[in-house]
Amino acid sequence: MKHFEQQSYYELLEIQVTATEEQILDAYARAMETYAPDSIAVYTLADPGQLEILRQRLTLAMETLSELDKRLRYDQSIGVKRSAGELALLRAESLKRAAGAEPTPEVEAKPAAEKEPEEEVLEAVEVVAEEEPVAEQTPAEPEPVAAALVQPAAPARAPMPGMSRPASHSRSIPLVSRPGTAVPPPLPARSALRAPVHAAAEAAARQRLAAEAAAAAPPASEPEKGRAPSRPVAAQQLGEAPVLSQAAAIATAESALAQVAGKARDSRTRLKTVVDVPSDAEFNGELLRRIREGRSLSLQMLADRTRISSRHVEAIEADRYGSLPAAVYLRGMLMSIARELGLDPLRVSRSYMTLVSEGEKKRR
Amino acid sequence: MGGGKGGIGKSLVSSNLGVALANRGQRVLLVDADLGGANLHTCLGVSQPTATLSDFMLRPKARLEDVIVPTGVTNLSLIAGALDVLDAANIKYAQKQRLLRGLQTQSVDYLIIDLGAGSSFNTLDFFIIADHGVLVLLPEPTSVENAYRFVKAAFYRRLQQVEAQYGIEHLVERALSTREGAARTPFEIIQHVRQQNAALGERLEKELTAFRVKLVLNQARSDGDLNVGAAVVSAWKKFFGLEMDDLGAIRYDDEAWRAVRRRRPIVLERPDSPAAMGLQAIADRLLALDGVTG
Repeated sequence: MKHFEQQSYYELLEIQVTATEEQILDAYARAMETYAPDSIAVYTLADPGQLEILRQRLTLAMETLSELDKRLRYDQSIGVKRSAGELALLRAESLKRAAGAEPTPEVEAKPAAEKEPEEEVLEAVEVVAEEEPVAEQTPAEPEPVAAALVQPAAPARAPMPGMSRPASHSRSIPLVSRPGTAVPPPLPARSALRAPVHAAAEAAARQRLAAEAAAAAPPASEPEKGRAPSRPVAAQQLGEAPVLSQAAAIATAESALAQVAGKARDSRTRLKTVVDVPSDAEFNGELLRRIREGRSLSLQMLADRTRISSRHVEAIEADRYGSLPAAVYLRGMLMSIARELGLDPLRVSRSYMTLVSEGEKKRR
Repeated sequence: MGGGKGGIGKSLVSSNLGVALANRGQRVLLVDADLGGANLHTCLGVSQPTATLSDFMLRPKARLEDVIVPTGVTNLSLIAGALDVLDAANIKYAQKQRLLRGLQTQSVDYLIIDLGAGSSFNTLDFFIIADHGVLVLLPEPTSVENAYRFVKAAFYRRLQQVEAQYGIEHLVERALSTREGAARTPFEIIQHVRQQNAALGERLEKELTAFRVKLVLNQARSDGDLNVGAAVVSAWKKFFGLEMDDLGAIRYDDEAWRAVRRRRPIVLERPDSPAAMGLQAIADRLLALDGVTG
């Protein structure tokens, strides 16, 4: 029996020590809902001061556990031991994620590669690690992130018999299989729906990445060495993966489609229209507003769905740093907004919080 | 079956859970222990029970078996609440003990005790003899507030039974009777005992973790409401330190209201309605917890 202040970060977020980054972010979002100031579950159970402390600890937990280096240091401090395989898996996941979010040195050295569509289909996951950062290096032609494809519609569409696989489908694989950077699924129904189509592909990708990470001596520091020679292997395995997943998915395609239809009426479903977001984008209020409008969401609708007061949403979108709520609340709000808009919650909140603190320095 | 607040569906959950368990082959006895506001018989369509709890309480020689009436549902019988004694809610200590003893010696698979509103000792004492104290909750602040108050009161009432060996009488006394005391949590009590005697603290902790309430969320109107049970389980652990089990949620359903109007349990009247399905799932989860199969 422990008071939350004595709970480990894992206990706080109610996750296993083996949780993936995606699970960590999901758990954090859930906890932020449960422990929101107006949450019914804590009514008369906790006073606002305690709640605030808990929220701060939850945020600290999320921030520590969602960065692998920090997480491993923390693990050491609380005596969590990890097997080599587990470690390799975590490293591989973190690598994939990092590759999607920030340009790697390897890519900087290379000239912007010409895209070869056929290769893209085969390389699926690798594409994310290499192509996206390339796009970040060439802001002249920003790469559109097809957000719509991340949504349930895409997985449901893939196994449909008789449909030619659209070229753009290859883009959806990296987006979905990248934990965390793609929209983490907050609804069980949606992850269930996602699972049949991508389970095989993801499992194959995870296995391969784990093996790869184990093979390359220190994979975290030298991603390029481990990756380059493994390319043909990746092409082979991933070429097979869709076939496997397709067989499994056809059986469930109908029920999945029914679920999609049912979910479309659900206010929490985020079926998106495509909005172009450069992958090196700075998420300021202006961009968040543009994305929201691209999703045909009114400010009030966004406020209702995220349960953030419209006054705050407006201040966030207008970049009025002076009238924003305290940082601990702001971060949670940004993550909720990002999730609602189908963006990477962590990336959006970090990007925006950086802008806020820069803005504060300037004012001083 | 408790919950603190009135009108949250304790009787509806009790009666339908009773029917659902009886239909699964369990021998079930429903007891209306809402001493001041009995109406469980009405939920089951038993309009004029031939015997009630007041017959048992008014006649010192009566046995509890004498006031059990059939419900028309196989395997399900009922002890109807005290209808004709106006001060039944204020039963004396000796009467309560006699009733508690009588209940605990019934040879059935499930004894479902439907409690009244409030957190009086007469209500709590029935709650804490249960293997599964079921807490009914609506996704509303008023219900949540009363539910937390009820379950905290039940916890400290339970603690009173073991306090003597741990030397925490004054702590428990204060918790039950003062405002500051009520804000105390099991953490602090265990801490207190541990300072005196580590082994005793350990034993108390084990004893307290056995207080594991089962949660039923009633009248869920939105998908968000379905998660309130899980949120309460999480918050209860973080701030009070104890585990709860989420038995499941029951959808808000006009069919439930119509079934009450017809004085029929909804699991019989409209088995396919969302509310009835929620109740069936709760019965299944309960059986699973008890390791009952088939």
